[in-house]
Amino acid sequence: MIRELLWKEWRENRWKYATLWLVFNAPILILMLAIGTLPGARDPFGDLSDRMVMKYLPLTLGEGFLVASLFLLATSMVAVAVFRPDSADKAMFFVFEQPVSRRKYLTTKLLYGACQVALAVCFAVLFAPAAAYAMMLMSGKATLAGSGAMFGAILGAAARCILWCTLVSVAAFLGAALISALVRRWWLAAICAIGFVVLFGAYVFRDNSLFGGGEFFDIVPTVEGKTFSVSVNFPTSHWLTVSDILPMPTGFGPSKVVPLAAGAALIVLFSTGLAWVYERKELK
Amino acid sequence: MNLIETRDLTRVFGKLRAVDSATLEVPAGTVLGLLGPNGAGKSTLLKLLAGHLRPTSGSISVLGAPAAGRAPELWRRIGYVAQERYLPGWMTAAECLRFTASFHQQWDSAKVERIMGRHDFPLQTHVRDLSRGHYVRLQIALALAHDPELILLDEPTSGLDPTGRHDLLELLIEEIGRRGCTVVLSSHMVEDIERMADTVAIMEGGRILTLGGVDAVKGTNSLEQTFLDYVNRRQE
Amino acid sequence: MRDGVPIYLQIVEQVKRNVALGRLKPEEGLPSVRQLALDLTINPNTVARAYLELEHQGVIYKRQGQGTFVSSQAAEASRRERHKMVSALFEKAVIEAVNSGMTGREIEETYHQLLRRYGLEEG
Repeated sequence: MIRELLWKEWRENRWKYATLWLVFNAPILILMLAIGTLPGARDPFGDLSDRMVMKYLPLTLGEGFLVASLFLLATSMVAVAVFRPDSADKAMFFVFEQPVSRRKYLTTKLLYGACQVALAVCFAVLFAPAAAYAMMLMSGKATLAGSGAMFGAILGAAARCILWCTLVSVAAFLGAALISALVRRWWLAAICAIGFVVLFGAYVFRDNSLFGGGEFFDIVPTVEGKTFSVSVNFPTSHWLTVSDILPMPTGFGPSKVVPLAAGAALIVLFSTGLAWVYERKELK
Repeated sequence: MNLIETRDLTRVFGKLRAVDSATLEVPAGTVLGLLGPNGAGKSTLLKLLAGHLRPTSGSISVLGAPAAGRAPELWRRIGYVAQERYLPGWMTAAECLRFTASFHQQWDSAKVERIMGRHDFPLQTHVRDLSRGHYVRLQIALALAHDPELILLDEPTSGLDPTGRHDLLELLIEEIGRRGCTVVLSSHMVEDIERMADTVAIMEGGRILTLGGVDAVKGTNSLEQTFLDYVNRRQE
Repeated sequence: MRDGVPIYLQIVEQVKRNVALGRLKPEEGLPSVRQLALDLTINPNTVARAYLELEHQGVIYKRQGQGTFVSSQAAEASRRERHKMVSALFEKAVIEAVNSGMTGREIEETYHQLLRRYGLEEG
């Protein structure tokens, strides 16, 4: 029974979730493609010594930032798409006619979706620095001995930010799913979901909000007496410039309980909302 | 023993009284026909019986419980054939059957074979590409395979050619004859009801105009004439 | 299917008619309820009701585990039934003849012609 429900979720939504994975990994993939094919793209990295690595590698933590901000749009759109057949096409009633509680069906659907999102987040956030570092090692004079410690620290920071990114993404996924379940017309649901994500993101990143504002993502941290800058200049060959070696990243969000609890609370809230909506659904 | 009992069952959609104070009893092993024009409330009544809609007021008891919506286990004993198409279009017919079978310990594969196996049913075709006749056949298979006590059918013969209609009625007759199940069947085709039903409820505008044995309701007229009489009388 | 007459009664009449006409012989087996329902495309309950009525009237009987059969008394009942049917037809024919203006003599003439034609009378 559960096996068939999971199979249904997989078969019905495999391309939707695949899109999510693609979007999450698009930046690093594009980067890899550019560096692989365009000689000019490698310019900012110079001769790729260890020093260069230490300068540029921390930027790959931006993947986590993207996942928890811009990519929430993609996450929400996937959620709308995943929940559309149920609400718009009444496909849920096929499952409702089986001797299985609506709650069980919804739980399976939600858990499957949340796992997909969580895995996609984990993978993308870890893959970005790993792939970038691999490229750097392969093509330049960078060595493991010289820059391995920095890589380790970055990977650690990435791992720490996974929890926060996952919470935010799953919350956005469920919120958009709830909207999709409430709103029959798909385009209206999409618009509402986008609105929700924008508001959600704005609130999450605002200072003094429950989520601690933008402090979660100090990609460009400040250190006593020093300032760092990152600038991007398309389409010249010096398209990326970092002013100095960035300090080893420390203290990511996970150490703060309130934002994590708030994220978890939202997840519970949206799940409960969805359960209530599914319980009340009628074949009109 | 009554498998179904309703009393003053009412369902309202905004201003529309789709079902208005419906009171009926369906004893086990009998066939109730719902006869009426489009919009009479037959579909709504069947959905209420299935538990896909909640009543606005009145009471309803199906298989001894309020309605399937509250107790998913009841779906083991009920088969429902909807008028709408909501089988997942992307599934193949075979996948639909396998999916449904996984929820039931009781599954008569031989019966499924009989229902689907004739006329080379395209089991590997996606549901969205099935013709109306094939789609209904699949619905029937899904509804009957787990040997339900109660079968609810919403205008199952509509849109079928005479052969398809005949086949469908034959499937039902086989089922009733073999297992003595209870059936509630709606149609706007008088002949279907005349052939299949023991009891008939003539519906119009959400109300049950008359309810009784097919023979009693007919009197000395055809069922068709009786039906038209009732509808005309009501409109005066 | 005829208007106005319950289907189960139509079945009862049909069976009795066939017994009367000799198409169904005594001790001959009848189709099962399910089979007849399938053949006629009607509710098996209706067929069951017809068989019950026929049983009450002594036209058929059930043999445990073997099915339903025409009873032997049915033959005698069928003879009487047959006579009744023919008398009714006779009456219809006479009424028709009278209405079309035939005299008593003409009716008798026709009757004798028919008997001769079918070898029931020397003529």
